[in-house]
Amino acid sequence: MKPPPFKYVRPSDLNEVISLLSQHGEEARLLAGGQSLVPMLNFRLLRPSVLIDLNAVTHMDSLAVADGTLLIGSMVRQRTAERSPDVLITAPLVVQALRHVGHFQIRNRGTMGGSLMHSAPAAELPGVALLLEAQMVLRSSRGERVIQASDFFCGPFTTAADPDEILTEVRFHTPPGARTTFLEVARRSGDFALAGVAALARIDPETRVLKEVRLAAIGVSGGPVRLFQAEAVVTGRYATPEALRESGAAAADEVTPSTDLHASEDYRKRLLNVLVARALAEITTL
Amino acid sequence: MIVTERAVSVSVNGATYARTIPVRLLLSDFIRNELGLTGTHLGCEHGVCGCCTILLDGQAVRSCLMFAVQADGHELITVEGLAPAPGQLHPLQEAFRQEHALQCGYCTPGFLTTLIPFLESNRDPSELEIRQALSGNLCRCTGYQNIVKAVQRAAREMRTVEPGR
Amino acid sequence: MTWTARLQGEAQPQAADEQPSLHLGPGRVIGRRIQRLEDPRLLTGQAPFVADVNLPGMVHAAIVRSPAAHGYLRTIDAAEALGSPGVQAVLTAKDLDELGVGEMPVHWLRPGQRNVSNPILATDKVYYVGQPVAVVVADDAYAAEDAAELVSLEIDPLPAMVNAEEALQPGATILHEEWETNLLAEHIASGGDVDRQFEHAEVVIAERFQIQRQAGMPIETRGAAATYDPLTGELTLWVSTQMPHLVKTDICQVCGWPGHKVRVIAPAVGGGFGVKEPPYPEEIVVCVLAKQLARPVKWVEDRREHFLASVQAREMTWDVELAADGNGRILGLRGRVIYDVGGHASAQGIGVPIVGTGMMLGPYDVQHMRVHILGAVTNKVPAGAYRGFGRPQATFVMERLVDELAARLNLDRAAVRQRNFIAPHAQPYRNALGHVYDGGDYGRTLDRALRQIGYDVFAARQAEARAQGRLLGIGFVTFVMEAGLGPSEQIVRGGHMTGTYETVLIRMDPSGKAVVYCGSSSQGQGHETTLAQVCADRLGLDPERDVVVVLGDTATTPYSPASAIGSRVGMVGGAATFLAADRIREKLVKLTAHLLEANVGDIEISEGLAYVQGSKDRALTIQEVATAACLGSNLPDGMLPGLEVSETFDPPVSTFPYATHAATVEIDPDTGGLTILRYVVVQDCGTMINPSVVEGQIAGGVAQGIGGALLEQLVYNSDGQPLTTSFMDYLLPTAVEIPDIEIVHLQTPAPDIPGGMKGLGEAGTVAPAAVLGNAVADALAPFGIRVTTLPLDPDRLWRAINRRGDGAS
Repeated sequence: MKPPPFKYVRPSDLNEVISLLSQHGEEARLLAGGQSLVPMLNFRLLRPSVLIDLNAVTHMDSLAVADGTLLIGSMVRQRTAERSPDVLITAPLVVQALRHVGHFQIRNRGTMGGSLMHSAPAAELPGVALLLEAQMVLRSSRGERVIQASDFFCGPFTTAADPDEILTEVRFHTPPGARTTFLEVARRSGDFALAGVAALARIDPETRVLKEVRLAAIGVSGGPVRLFQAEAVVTGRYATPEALRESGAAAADEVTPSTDLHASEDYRKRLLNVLVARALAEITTL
Repeated sequence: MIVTERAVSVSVNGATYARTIPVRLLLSDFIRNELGLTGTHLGCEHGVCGCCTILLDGQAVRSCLMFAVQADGHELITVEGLAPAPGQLHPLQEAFRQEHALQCGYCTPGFLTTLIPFLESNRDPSELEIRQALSGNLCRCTGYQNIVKAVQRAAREMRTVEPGR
Repeated sequence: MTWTARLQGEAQPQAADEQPSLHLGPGRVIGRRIQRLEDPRLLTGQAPFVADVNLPGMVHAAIVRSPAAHGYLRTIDAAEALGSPGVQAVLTAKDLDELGVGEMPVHWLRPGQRNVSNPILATDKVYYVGQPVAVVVADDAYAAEDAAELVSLEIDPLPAMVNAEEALQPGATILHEEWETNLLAEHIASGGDVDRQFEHAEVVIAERFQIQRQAGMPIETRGAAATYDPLTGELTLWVSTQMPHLVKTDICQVCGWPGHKVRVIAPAVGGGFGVKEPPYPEEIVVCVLAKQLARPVKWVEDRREHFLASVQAREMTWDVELAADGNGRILGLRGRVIYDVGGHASAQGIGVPIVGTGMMLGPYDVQHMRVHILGAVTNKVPAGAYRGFGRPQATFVMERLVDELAARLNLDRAAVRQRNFIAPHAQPYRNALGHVYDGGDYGRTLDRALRQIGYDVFAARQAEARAQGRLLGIGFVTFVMEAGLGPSEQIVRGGHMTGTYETVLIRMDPSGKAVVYCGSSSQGQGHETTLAQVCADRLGLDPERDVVVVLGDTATTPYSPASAIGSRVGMVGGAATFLAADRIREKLVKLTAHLLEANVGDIEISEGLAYVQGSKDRALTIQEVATAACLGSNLPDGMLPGLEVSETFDPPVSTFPYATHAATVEIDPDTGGLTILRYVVVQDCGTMINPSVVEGQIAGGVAQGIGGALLEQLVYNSDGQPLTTSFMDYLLPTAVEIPDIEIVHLQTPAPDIPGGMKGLGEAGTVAPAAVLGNAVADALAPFGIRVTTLPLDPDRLWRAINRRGDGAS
């Protein structure tokens, strides 16, 4: 399990990365935290001709808050984000989800952008991005573009980024007054989720009615999915146990998970059903 | 510059090593084979077992998931660098011995390097916190029980040894 | 956290931090929780494992493995690989044949067994994905792996057979065509007249049980490094093995090399658990290459290879019936077990189900059984040893049947067990298959375990929880195992190709310090410490300062046919050490009496002194006596100089350690998620040389058993492609999934073993699947579920609760 031969370059400037990407395109791979890429190389599942190491590039690991929006550089380590007061205040869901990402040794190296670009079907951060309707900032020699998360995730290990594009920043915004949580079920501590749910709710302080509900699931589809039916079922209602149960059931009905080694389709649906109800209960309970 | 070999300079356990190495050389293999520090073990080479955990600038990381070229200019500590002097043990190592927290000892270096920063950031961990911190390292011999006890003992000892920190 | 209960009449081990200063002398070191002698080098990264062996000019081997589960191997084209940078050689079966290298022997044979040896590298057919086909040698491991990818294999695929039961059906694809069947071997474990018991039974419980494929999965993979000296013709092999002497025997036999020119060293070994019990093809190949290339050669298995080429285990399907009377008295057991052997026999043949079935009636006084054991080949990795060696499966089957019997008769499960236990006064007890137990009070371990876990109040707690919609369950299992098999004569007659004795050599030099040489090896069990304790105990020495134990090097240690398998080193090696040390002691006593002009009967030895009883001023240090013995002058008449003793101990009988395990669990009805609330072990393993080591062995074994019960499963698809080839997919338990394990000791010395030890190493693994199976069945009793299939994963439990699909328990 030794990686296949490749060539390596360690640019220090983003423009250099962009130029390398335009030169090598699909032959190249960006090396961020390497916590998914290097295992794939060690298993020889990938054979890039060039690895572009982003770890020496400056200004890609900034973390800032502007107008209540969290601007997070794609090379920010997951562990840094998890421990950042700014992240906790502006996008607590990011922290809630990161606690489920691998183990802390993995998060010490793993980056925010790396996980989003890798886009594994059960990865937590894509679910967070989708739920918070994050903006994904992409750069290439053709310039910069900003894509909505909902347009960014295109299936297992696939994003809307072109081969010559790099994700430089992600912008997370939590609606004022919203409460969030992230729940998942995995076979063991630190494993990929069999199913997971990111949830957000805003309750009208006067009427106690659920004004806004957002739900996103991971592990039950090729990528993260918004659970629009499940959201609709509870929005505008009181958070009664019955309403939450109905939302869970609706969630299970709007996904078609696959069966694999670790869980069947039925079981993943069941987990999603339970997790949606539990997540909503958590954030609607005072 | 796109290269297949590259010169690196790495500080390991306080000594600086300069080598020219193939770019695909894993950091774990560099430490073991180029530097001869074979206390860092390989158990899976895909980042799950935690045997190859080292400290990179004080942070626990999997050395099988980094290339040696990426360690250029960084400070590493391996299991060989934990004890204060030859013939002595770090309080954590001492606690492992006292609680019989190792059997074959193959996974042990990875547990120790994982636990050093954990105990520095959490000086009085609960059993659940300890078990969660250990969950990124696989041990097939001990059933973890005595490792948990060793961490509790080490936390106690380290609080006494370094008061006020 | 006080987890060792202290009771009158029970061993009362101290917690490690209450350890008093060491009292030296006979009977004073055995039983102490001393810190392990091997630990400092392991804790500091200084212990050499096989991957750490680096020699000048060393080259690295990579194995080309079959990508197909079943097929005819037509051609091997290595031309491109040979041209790859850094490549030194490519080796195939043809080369081995030309070099006169034979086949790997199977060490466990039954009459009529259809294969007795296996090719080292595939010849004309491949039988499983991962089977070694060719070997590439290059300057480093990276170059070797690059080149291995370039060896092209032409394989005509054949349909894969992945189910052992189907493999025995008429018309099944035959793996080994010359056999005309997929049946490797069979055996009938039979005693009494079981059919008659069924004729008058009031209750018959019939059930089918399926146990999944698992593996021991040591964290260190296998590996081998060899060097050959053309001047002397001597070959040295470092290998990650449990049996260095047997590896040497096999190398000599397979390669035709003389034993005195081959040295095998088991250095530090990172866990074995049975996986490293048999000698493997790669180990032979590395030796052959070192000789041919006249360069040191190293091969270190990677984790993916470990999933493809190291023995797997446990997979069995049982169809069994239990007969009983209306009071729950068990009358007999009969049925059939099909054992999934994999592509060909491993070294252990069908030994695993034979050993498992042999003690299946365990603590119960039942004299009638018949189990037909069938070993069928399938296109999977060969199956062999894994800690427990068939006992976890047999215990799961038997103990689930007992719980079902109790449920059927609406009797208390503990009462049914107590009713059937062999009474202590009926010991030594000869079981239905002729095994003669060496004592045991099974009822006492059960009582003690149930008291520890609070069985008497559990029903009320459970009922209360059920009323709240929560599912709690309790399970408990008492088992007896045969450990440290012996005598050699009987074991060899049973089909095992090696004896089970152990020889220990102790040398004392003029310094009065002792070196203990034992041919076994250690993979973490702490033999270095426990054998030192036995030696120190007999000789009045300090185990840490005065004794060194040398293990696992065939050049320096006595021949050991069985080494570190079968829970035997502490017991058999310990007994041999005990005897050898006593002979040295005897000589020291005689010589001291002579030097002090005292009676032999008045001499005592302790704390580094030999002295006349009651008058410590008439004393010599052990060093002074040893110096005199080694000097060879002024010896009593008839005494020869020197202090070197070798003793061989061949156990006259096996030992029969026993235990009760009990656990409580909670199952989340919404998700099927299972949490182990408590896990209790009450164990009697005879004399404990070091209680900390004993507890470590139990806790580790229980954790492996829990992994097998809840998490671990090796999966193949219908084409015979393995789907679990990484730690992402084969789920070893972590610290979060394993509960605190509460251990209580009973200590009844083995009557026939010097020192009184009983085998222990495997004991922890035997019961967890059965205990958790019973606890789950209890928790899910309101749903009327029968737990028959492992693992008890949440998907399966949720399906069972909701009665979905037929895969349910």
